[in-house]
Amino acid sequence: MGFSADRWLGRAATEARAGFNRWLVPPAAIAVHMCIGQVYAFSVFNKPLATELGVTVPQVQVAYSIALVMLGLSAAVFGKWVERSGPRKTMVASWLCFCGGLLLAALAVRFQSLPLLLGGYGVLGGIGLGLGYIAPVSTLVKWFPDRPGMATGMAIMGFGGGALVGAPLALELMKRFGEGADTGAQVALTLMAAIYSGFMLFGAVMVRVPAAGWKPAGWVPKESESKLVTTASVSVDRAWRTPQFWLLWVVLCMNVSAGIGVLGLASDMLQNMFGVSAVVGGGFAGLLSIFNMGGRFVWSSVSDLTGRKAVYCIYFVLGAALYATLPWAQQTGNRTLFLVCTALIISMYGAGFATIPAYLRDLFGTYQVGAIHGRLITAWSMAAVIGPSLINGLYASRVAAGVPKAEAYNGTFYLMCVLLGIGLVANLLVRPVSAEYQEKTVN
Amino acid sequence: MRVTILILSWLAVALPLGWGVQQSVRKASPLFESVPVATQR
Repeated sequence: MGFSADRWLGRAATEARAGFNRWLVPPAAIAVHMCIGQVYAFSVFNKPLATELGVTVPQVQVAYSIALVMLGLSAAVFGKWVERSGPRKTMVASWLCFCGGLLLAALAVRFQSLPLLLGGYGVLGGIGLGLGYIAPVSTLVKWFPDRPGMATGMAIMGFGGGALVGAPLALELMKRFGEGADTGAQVALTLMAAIYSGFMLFGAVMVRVPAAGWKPAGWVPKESESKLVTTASVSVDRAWRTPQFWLLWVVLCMNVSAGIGVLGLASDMLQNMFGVSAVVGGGFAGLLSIFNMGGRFVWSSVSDLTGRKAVYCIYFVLGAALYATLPWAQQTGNRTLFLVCTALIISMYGAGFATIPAYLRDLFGTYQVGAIHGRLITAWSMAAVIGPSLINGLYASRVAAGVPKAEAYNGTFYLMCVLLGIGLVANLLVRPVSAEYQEKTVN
Repeated sequence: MRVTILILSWLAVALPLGWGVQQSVRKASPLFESVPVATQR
């Protein structure tokens, strides 16, 4: 009486029966993304973990960087396995890795071990991030062929929301269980692993894949909708040999690089540019996180109406125009204009993540879109590491050159315009995928 | 029964996300208070 994992977790076990309501799938996807999105809120553990482990904050931050790099690598390496195994098995694997990583981080506090933190949260947790990121997205794309942008926007909005939930939850738990020299980080990490386990397993139980050939009732694919939208299938091994894949890689990398700097520097930026207090600067970061989350759903849904290429043109052109406005807003002391511009910029930063799976589905079909998405996510890892270094480096060099702090960000804003310009060119070069890359037969 | 499961599923994710948004709005509220800049330093 051997236990067969495939019987419960395999793709066949998750195939939906006739009459299944597809609107049950988004909560499953959001639940998983909401948990793994906690990585964005890891910074709340920086000081407590540095204190507990007796190391510096930058040493603790290495765990976050490793996690993001592992997110991209694991999504790229395990993408085909994810497509083969189905979303439930992948979500369970993601749960084991991500919550296991949180528990190992708690143990790292117990044994005051930095390597355990880096290996646990960074490597193991990072693998959980990669697996948990792509599986729900590719599943939703298959359930919502009529509105793929809205579908991927919902899941990836959950990832953005993960930071909104993860940060106050961690702070609340540390406040409740910390006492004296004990920061409460160990208990907080352990309890978060338990809480997130509930949500991730809920997602794994609820998720379903559509039966082969399933279509929404009454929906007929529009042949003439756009030349970029294909009904053909391109495998992951062929997709990443196409110029379209690498153009989208540049599109994502530039879009992320241009937004991630502002997100990380938000609080300091407002303080230095407008002379506001740290509390108000923190409020600015809070405002941006809401727009980061909301933009994922709103803009991605808009892309269903405009088409993916057009909406990315909007992100890049409008984004560059808004960045170019920021120095003027600072010089005239117009804080409201500054807030509006940055909020819109961040909404499009989040939207870039949310719209890319739908763009991939348009170009390569749904056949192995999860695996292709996984390989494309390496652009995010690259941008997450390079973007902030580039931005911090430029800002530091301007300050060192004697430029007043309030004006030192201006060079950064113009650099962002250049990055967005590169992204725009890459996006404009995207053409339909040649028939030579398409699969002849797909199971 | 199906509708109940659907509603409960959405509530399961909407409640924590709503709490997270509410926490962020609370955090962002000092941005919109008309306190003179000089007194904030």
